[in-house]
Amino acid sequence: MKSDIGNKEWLEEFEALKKVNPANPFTVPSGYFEDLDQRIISSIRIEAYREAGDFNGLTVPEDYFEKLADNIQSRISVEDALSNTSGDFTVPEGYFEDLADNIQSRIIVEQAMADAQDNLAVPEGYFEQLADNIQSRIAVEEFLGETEPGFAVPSNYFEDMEQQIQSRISVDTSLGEHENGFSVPEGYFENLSNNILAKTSSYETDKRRGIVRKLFASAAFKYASAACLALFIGAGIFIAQIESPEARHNRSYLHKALFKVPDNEIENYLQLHMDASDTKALLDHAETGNIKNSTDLQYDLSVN
Amino acid sequence: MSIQVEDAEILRKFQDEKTRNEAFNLLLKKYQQKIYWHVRRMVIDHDDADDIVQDVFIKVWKNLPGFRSDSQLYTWMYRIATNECITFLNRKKMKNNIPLDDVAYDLSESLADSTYFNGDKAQLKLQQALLTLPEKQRLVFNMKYFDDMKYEEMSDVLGTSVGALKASFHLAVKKIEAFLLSED
Repeated sequence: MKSDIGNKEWLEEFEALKKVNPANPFTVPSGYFEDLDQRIISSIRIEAYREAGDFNGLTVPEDYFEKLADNIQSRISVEDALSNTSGDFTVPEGYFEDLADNIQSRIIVEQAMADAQDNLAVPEGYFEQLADNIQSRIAVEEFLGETEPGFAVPSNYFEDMEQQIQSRISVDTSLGEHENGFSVPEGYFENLSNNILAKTSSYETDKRRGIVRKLFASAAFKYASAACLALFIGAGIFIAQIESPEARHNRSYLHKALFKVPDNEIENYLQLHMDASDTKALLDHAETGNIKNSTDLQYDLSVN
Repeated sequence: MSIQVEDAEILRKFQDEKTRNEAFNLLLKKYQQKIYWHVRRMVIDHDDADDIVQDVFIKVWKNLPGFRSDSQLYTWMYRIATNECITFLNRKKMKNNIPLDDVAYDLSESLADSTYFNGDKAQLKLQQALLTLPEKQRLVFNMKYFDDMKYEEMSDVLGTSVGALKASFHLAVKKIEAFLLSED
């Protein structure tokens, strides 16, 4: 291939490539290049504004974008509500067809009512005088109705009254003669009280007089009782003392034999000759002897 | 027929703040299609190319005040476009967590179904062959085969020596040829 291929002579060496039409196979939309320069200039201006941050003619109200979402939501809700309300408000069937006739009828009725109100007039000042008229009427009727104050009597009551009284008297008289079938002796009630008192005073009561003797009343007996009680208590204490383990020990032969032996000699003997059985015996009888604390003894025996 | 303004004139007008916008408009009209097709051949998809082209010219606008004319204005813009394409393809690879070969495969598949590709079967095969090449080789081939750029200009764009570019192109052509023959 020649180094200088500006004249495309090199293409002769490539048959396949040579067969390809060198024309531009790409196309563009109609009129693309006619307005390309304008679009490029517009792009340059937009780019300049964006870099400068200068959008003087493209400002928005304060907090516009912060409120924008809520405004859009509200607008959507309103639009939905408006689109849905058309189906919520309904009218009866044939409403609009009958509406004109209904309006006409209503007009006629109201006109008639207006006319009727004119025919039902009242005298002038009627309502102002009404209260006084009513009061006057009440007074008149009360006056007319005094003979009949309101406590009515049966008809012909007063005409029948005399006859009824006479009949009653006759009845009471006849009843009075036989008002009871029980009779009493003459003067019975007058003597009744005296009779009762007489009977009650005739009772003879036997009075018994008993001799009341006081038990344990003498002072000697009191002193004797106290003495016996003290004696018993004292005896009990004495016996308790002489029978205590300590008293028994003190009376024992061992105590009497070892009483005068010095403590150190006893300790030396124990250290030399004591065995396990002696230790157990000492522990078992620790409480009965002069050893107060068995725990201390156990410790002493364990370390020695 | 539009009158092509010289790069020097564009640069001079751009330096003046009063005529800066006018200069940039002139620059756009002069180079937008070249930059577009350069990008389009790399990324295949029209929408992707459209985005990248806009990014390229935004960068041109930002950096043109510092352009020191030590290179051609055209090659300078080509370099920006090339870097944007490579960045885009790498980003696509990382975004999908797939190797670049798979990106090329996806591009190849999309090319066959693209609305904005009306090439014949041979042209489609050629594009598919190009997608099998490494990015640098594909760039070299495109700039040489489709844009008919000189190696010196390509060297300025890619920052590669002329000899390396020639070798790269040679390898690219051989691969394409082999692909075209093997796929028959």
